[in-house]
Amino acid sequence: MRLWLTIILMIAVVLVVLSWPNRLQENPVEGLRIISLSPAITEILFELGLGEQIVGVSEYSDYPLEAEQIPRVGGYGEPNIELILRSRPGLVITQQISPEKIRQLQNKIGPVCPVLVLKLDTLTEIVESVQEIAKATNTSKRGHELADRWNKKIERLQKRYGNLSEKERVRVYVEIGSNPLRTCGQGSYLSEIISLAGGKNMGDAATGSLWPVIASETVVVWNPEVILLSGMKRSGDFKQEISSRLSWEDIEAVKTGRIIELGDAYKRQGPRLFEELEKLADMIQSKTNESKKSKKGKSP
Amino acid sequence: MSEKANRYTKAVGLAVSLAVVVALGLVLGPSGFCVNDWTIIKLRLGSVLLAAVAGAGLSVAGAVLQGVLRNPLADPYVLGMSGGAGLGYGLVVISGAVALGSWVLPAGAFAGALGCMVLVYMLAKTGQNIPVSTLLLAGVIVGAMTGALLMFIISVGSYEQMHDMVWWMLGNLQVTDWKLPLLVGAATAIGIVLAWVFSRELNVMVLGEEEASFLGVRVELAKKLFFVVASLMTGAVVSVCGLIGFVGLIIPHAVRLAIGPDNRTLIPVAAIVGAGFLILANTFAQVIIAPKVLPIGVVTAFLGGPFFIYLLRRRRKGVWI
Repeated sequence: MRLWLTIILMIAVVLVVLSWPNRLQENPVEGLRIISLSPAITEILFELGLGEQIVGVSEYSDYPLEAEQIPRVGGYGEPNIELILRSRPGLVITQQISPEKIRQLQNKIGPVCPVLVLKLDTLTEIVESVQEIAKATNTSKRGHELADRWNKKIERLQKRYGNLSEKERVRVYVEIGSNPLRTCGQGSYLSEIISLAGGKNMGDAATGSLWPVIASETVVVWNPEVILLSGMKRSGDFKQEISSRLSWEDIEAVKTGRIIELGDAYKRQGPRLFEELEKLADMIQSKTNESKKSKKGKSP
Repeated sequence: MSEKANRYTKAVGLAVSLAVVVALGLVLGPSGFCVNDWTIIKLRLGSVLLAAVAGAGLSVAGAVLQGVLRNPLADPYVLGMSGGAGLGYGLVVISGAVALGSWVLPAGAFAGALGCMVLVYMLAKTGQNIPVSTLLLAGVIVGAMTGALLMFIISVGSYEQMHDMVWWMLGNLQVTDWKLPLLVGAATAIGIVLAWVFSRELNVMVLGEEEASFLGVRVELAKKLFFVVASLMTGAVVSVCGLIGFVGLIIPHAVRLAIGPDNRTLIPVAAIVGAGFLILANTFAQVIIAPKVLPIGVVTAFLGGPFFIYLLRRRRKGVWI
């Protein structure tokens, strides 16, 4: 027993020693050292050309590819104060996570460097946030460019579909999870971009929650013309799976085969959403050629 | 004669209430009142069937375990099934195996429950026997350990996965095809019939193992049989419906209070009452905040919690068995 304990202890010591230099390694970054506490903010920073300045990101910061190389400083909503301080930040940017966590961040990190708290729940908020980040990082020119480009995209769609009446809009059901069935409700960014693209998000009927769980029967009654799949990874034959659900064969989208899997860009309230807006509108509005459009829907 | 007539009336009353509850479950749903649309009724029929199967299976499993373990706190999950099934489910979710098809989740949960059952059995076994106290302790410990592992999986999972797993732990009676409900229904039916056939032995075993062996019951064999039957029923239900709490605990107690502790009537009546209760709870969960759905486990616990407190208070006056 004692022998084993000693051996385990020795192995542990060796492991700690071996991993030590790694922990102390400094990230040699010139200029402002930025920490991003959400995957969407990481994407915005890269859009602003600040990828090189990021010294720490939250988990799941996986886009663009370079972001995967940046050290992790905690999960989304679970920032690790010690890791953040260790990376000697010059600016910490976070989304609105729980108020308690924000308070902690401001108390512990506030004295060291500014903490920027942003809301990214709607497209407008994303545009505003980009400008706020640009201001804090001296990249206002690039920030304005992005804002202009994105605002133009929004205006174009608004002009095209803004005047559609409820009846003219295409009935869209978004499925975020299948067990239980979960959709996107009123106030969610997906609902916003669907209505911008001339659709009517059926999940809006479930008021009071962003990601409501609903009954199978409810979807049958909604009778959506398009079914969009997001959230978790689907099996290869997702069309088959959905068409064979009990009583779903009469749903219009199932009859016409307009069941489309959304790409990764739609999983995040980030800048990639703007680039997808036109494609989404095409997907929702096209009555024919589903297969071609569904391929188009996937992110590159 | 009047005794017999009384029983007959009670049986008819039970059948009628079940029919009413089933009818209610068919005509009422999240989209409101509906009697003429077969597409909708078919869907509700699936939910009602699954709720009935789950309610009956959990209630009978609870009744059997309360009897065998001679413990009023026993429920279908007391032998660690919940943790085992949850761990199997969690591993499937986190490993991304979900993408293989919709059957992977129930298969994973069932495998977890089964593995847990074998583990508890092996831990509890001393020589050729499985003493009740050891069985109970092994169940609780395995349940706690697997539960902790499940919590670990949840803590490292993404928000999406976390949400799905929490819903699973609160139970889910959503039906997407006929295959799974029918499969679970068949397994549960076999379990209920077995439990009913051997209810006489169960009655004797409630008296105590020594007494039972004096009365000619092969105690160890019977114990193993009841253990396997209850576990398989629970595992089958859990793999499709997730963890629906309280049904397996309160229904047997409620039925015992109403008609007495004789397992020969207790088991079939608990099956019917359990089925009816869960159908009703499910209808309630789907209708009350429509189009949103309440987790079924929240509804059963909300009804079950106060009832359980009442039972605890009542225990001071009477005996539970």
